[in-house]
Amino acid sequence: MGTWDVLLGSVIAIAGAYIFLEARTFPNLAGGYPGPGLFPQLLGVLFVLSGWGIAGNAVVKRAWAWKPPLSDYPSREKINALLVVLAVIFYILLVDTLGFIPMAIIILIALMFRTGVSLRWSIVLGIGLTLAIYILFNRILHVPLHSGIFKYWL
Amino acid sequence: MLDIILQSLASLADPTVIAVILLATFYGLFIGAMPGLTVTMAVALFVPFAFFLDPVPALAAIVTLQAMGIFAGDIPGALLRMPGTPASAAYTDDSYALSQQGQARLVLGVDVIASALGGLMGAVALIVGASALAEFALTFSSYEFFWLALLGLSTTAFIATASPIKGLVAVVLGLFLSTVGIDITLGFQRFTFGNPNLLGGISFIPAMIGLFGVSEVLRIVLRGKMHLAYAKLEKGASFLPAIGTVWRYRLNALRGGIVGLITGVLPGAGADIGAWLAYGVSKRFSKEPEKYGRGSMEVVVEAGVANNSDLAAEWIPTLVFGIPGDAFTAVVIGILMLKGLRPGPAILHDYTNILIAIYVTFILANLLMVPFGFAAIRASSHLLRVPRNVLMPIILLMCIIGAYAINNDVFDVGLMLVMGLLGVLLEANGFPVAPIVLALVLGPLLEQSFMISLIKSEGDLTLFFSRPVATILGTLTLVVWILPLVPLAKKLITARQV
Repeated sequence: MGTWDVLLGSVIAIAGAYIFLEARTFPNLAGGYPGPGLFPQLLGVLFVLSGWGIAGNAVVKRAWAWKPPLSDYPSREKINALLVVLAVIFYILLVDTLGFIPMAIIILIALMFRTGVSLRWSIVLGIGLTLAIYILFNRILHVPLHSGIFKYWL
Repeated sequence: MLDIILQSLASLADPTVIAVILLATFYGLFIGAMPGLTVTMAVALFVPFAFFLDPVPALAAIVTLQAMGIFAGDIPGALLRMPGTPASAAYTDDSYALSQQGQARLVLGVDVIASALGGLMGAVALIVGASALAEFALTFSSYEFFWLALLGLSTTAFIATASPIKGLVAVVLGLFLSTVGIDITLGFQRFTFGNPNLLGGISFIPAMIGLFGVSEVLRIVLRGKMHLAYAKLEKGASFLPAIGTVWRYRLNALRGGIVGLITGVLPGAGADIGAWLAYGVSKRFSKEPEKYGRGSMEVVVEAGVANNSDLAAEWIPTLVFGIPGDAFTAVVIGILMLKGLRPGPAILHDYTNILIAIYVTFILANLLMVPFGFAAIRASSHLLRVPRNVLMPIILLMCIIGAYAINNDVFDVGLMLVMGLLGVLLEANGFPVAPIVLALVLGPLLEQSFMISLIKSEGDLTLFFSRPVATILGTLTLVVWILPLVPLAKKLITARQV
């Protein structure tokens, strides 16, 4: 873990200090009893102590080994993982406009093709599975999935 | 009472419930058999279905998929040396070594029988224990609930993780996330940053789907191995030899069952802890400890019984106190709340019929495990051949729908993604993620019981130990805190002596 522990430990300690200071501004209960700020203040203190503990442990052990994030994985797989993240962001931003069906088809085809499924099978599975999932959730379980561009047909 | 039992049995005999149980059987066996896909993820993805089912079929499905999934986790353990679920990890090396010695079919048969046996032991403990504890728990005050919640969180932080300090960070993170939203005492907004979507707090199910579903998809995509090479099953019968083997190690089975029950009842310790503990106990008392890790059948029996007996026992604190045994039962609490059922001491009186249906399903699921388990062994080569590059995008889509369906809000899909990325970051740096979920569920109970106790005692912390049960629970919690310091103290003493 090395330098990452120092880095994460410091981030945790700083976040804890912020939580503690922010929670100190919360009001008290009537009669001077501690209010909604007490519990987060305790959590803030625990964050600071454990953050120091993690960073301090790495410093004491002189564990300075630095590995760039995700360096154990091949770059093609890292791009695939990035694609998964982008697919969800893409879904959040465009599902209202395009609707569930086009979004799901695009996501399934793109991810399957990118991870090694042939283009023909990616298209067949992408369309077929999207329709099956849509029927299951929207028609049978009544989850109000976005209709988007199909709002006059669905 | 007889009326209620008959009513519960009738509700389980409903064709919809039977169909749901059968579907949950296949779903649990499939997810459990796929390396990397956990039973916790399976139940998180089941939530949108549970949303639209009545309480009895929803809970029957969860019980079934849990039992089947934990057993099926043994299949890739034996054939690939990759445990399907963390609960199978303890004896994966032994199962795989036995497979390499040409006993794959036998070891998987033993897994089925040991799992079913463990599950039935757990079911009996649940039936007896839940009723007895529910009466007892009615006398609990805020002090007992505070200590019980803290004990569960302390166990998961300090005992159930490799690094206690990182386990503590995970617990504190989960507790912090539980404070987001409107505070119940004054209606004050905490850490919402002006975002109206956060007023109701961090939605538990999308967070859970992110931590266990999306992060798993990302990890599998990062590893990149989409087709797996697996050991072949030899031909021949396995049912009678498996029964014979379990009978030969019957004392191990009994001891494993007891260890599983104890860890199951302890809030915060999951089936994986039960299996590891049973492994340690088994090795300690074995006449052939040198075989452990190299193909010991007795540990497969003992730990296999332990992780399944643990499952049903975990439901005791979950149902009676509203305190989950592990991340899986944390989701169960979420689903119970979703169905309008409040877990707690009153559950025995308020929802007797549902409770009896859960008991019966536990027995039914473990009996069904025998035929379906052997069928799954036969189909295992087909199960393991399912390409993960087809499966992963489907799971991602199910995660998106699952997160969205809770509040029909795309904000929850974003929350799911953030939690998924957080899960990958934390696990890559040695932080466990299961304690986050447990703390997120237990946070409100812990804070509420802490505040009530503090106001009742007018700030006098000694009153937290004023009642007998509170004293026992408080002492146990302190012991759990001190345990990680013991090796450190030993090191210091040895260093001084040198």
